[in-house]
Amino acid sequence: MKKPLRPPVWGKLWVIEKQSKPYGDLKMFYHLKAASIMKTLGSILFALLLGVAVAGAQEAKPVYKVYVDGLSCPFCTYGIEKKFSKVQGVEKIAVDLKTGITIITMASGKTLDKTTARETVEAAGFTLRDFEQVQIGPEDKGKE
Amino acid sequence: MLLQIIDLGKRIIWTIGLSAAFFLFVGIGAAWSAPITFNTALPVAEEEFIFREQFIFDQSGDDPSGADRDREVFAAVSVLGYGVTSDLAVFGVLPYVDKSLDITSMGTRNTRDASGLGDMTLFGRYTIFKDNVPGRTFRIAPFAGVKLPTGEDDKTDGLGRLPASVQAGSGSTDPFGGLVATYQTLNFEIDTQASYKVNTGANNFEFGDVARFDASLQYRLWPRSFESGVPGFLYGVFEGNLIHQNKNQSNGINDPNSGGTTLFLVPGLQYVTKRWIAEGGVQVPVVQNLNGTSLEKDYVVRFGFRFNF
Repeated sequence: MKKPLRPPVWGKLWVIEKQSKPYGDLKMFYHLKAASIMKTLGSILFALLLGVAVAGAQEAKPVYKVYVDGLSCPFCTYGIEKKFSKVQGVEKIAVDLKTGITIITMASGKTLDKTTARETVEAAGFTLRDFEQVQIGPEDKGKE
Repeated sequence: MLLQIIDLGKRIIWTIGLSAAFFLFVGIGAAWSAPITFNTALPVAEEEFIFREQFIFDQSGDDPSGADRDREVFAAVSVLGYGVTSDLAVFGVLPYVDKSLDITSMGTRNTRDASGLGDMTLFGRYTIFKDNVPGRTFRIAPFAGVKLPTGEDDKTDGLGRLPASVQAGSGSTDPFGGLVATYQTLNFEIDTQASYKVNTGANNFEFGDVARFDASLQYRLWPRSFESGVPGFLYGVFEGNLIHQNKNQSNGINDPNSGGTTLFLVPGLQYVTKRWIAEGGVQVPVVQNLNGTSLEKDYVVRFGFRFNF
């Protein structure tokens, strides 16, 4: 009697395969094997994403709202952007012309104080009305 | 027609080249954000620069003297502004001019022309009052400066020395000063300016002093409303220039056919973004109360741009 083709023994999967089907159904074997590999890769990817998310949460950057008085045309807002872009640690600047609110995002580990914000706004030719921190960075959490 | 187009092309190339050269020479520049025909009190940020380039075509041709004079002036004016502090800004202005005068004399039609760099102007502006509230600002700023005799003022042609009004430069050092006020909201802006320029003499000739009062309204046409961010604004512009010039003096004697008062109205458009402004307008003389046979203005076209560095 001719011996059926026997795939290599790849652990448990082969045992299941062996129990459910006689030797020789290689197509089904490789299908199940591919499914197993995909499942493993999915688990690894999930773990990686989770890790990134946790790390991201730990790297939250300080964000400040700077209320600027006197901003009333698009051309003038660029002065505010230019001056804040020269402040050490500033990573992102978003001006809202209608409200006069400028959102300043700092790099991790950097902070912006009210005095610096006032000096920067005044150097651009405008007036600081108010200043508040709307998101704290990891270095601030220990101070809470 | 083809020659005119080629000539215009040459002028534009010269203008761009000279503007670039001026920009590189000075290193940086200045510009404002409001009226098309005069200054504003809006700030130039500390240690920052603004550049403005304006192209001007000035046509005068209604000649009551019978000499059928027709004068055209093309100018490309480069302005560089620098914020020494947020209140003190200094400006340098350098024009490139191309002037021509057609005149009929003893039955012969002659063209007299000159071109080249004109007189440089340097001035400073200091904000003495500002009131900033959310979405609005009101500012008052005096300014003072001097026009320097950097342009050629002794060009001659086959008919002799060109008249002073055709020379690229005046040859004189002329101080000036004034006051500008600006009220700006998110919807509109109003600027007013009063100024006086003392023209001194050169080559036994002295232009009359110039006093002027200017006003400008810019009204946001588009977008009609906006929610967030910094959108570009399209302004409709309407300005007025009331300009009085005293009589010129030649060898110490007043020229009765010079000086007078002109009122221009200036409709225009201006598109303003964070980094640049494009603008254009036409100065239309609605009142010209000129002395003697002074040459009347037909119109002045102005267009250009400003750029935030």
